[in-house]
Amino acid sequence: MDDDFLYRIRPPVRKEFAKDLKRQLSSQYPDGRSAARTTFPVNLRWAWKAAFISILVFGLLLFTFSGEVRAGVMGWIQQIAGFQVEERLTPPVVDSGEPDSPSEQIQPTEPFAENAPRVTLEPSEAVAEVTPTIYAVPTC
Amino acid sequence: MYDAFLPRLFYFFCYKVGDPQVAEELTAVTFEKAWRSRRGFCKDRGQVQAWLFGIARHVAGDYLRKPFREVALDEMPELSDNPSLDEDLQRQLDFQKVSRILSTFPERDRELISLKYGAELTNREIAGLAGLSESNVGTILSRVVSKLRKEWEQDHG
Repeated sequence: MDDDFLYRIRPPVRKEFAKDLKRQLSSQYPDGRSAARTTFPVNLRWAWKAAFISILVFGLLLFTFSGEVRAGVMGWIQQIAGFQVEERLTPPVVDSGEPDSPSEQIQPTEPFAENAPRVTLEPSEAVAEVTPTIYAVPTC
Repeated sequence: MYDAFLPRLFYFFCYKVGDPQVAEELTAVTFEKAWRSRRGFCKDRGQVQAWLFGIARHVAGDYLRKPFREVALDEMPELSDNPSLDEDLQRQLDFQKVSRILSTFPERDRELISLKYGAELTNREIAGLAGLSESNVGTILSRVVSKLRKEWEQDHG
């Protein structure tokens, strides 16, 4: 008796058994999941996803078409974030082509006049005689 | 996985319980358990092997712990598709004789024989499964095979 003998005497696997077991496993668990998994938890997972997507879509539709909901959301944003969201039907800046007020007009620059008085920058006596002001600061 | 491990699982159970019909049942139970929980398991072959034979050891342990085991008396073991009936019958008788001798051995010795000559695991793989050192597995297996050979020769002598 040696190692080969112990390998050789093993009963062969019946072909019918191998086929039957394979067929049985394939029919019971076609994708490797147990029967319990395929019925309850998988369906539940899909139900959660479907419910979440439905709620999201419903909320978006409500926000789009209901003014009250929009106002409520904007008020909530103002309360939480501290800034106001303004809803406008027209864009905030309208470029009409003309300035709105004269102050916004750019004045044309005038050229130098020929006979304008000349101004010389020399120290004047009035400036030189200015006496410093002494403030009395009360001390304790 | 099925084609690669089916024969080895079957042979493992054959040595473990000594009855090919019971071995078929236990192989089926093992595959059903593995099939059910295979989804979250990684694809590494070495880990799959350890995992699968871990399940098989539990299945065999559950079977051997049963107080009353059902024995089918009305069914004779079927022969394989081998045309040589004499060889097949001789092999069957030899296996029954070895199984009978092994049934008198301690559970751990029988377990190691099943993993070595049934599941075709290496000593290192057996050591990992059985919680022994590799050298210890080699020593025990050598001793068990010598003892088996001695008793076999006594039967034939």
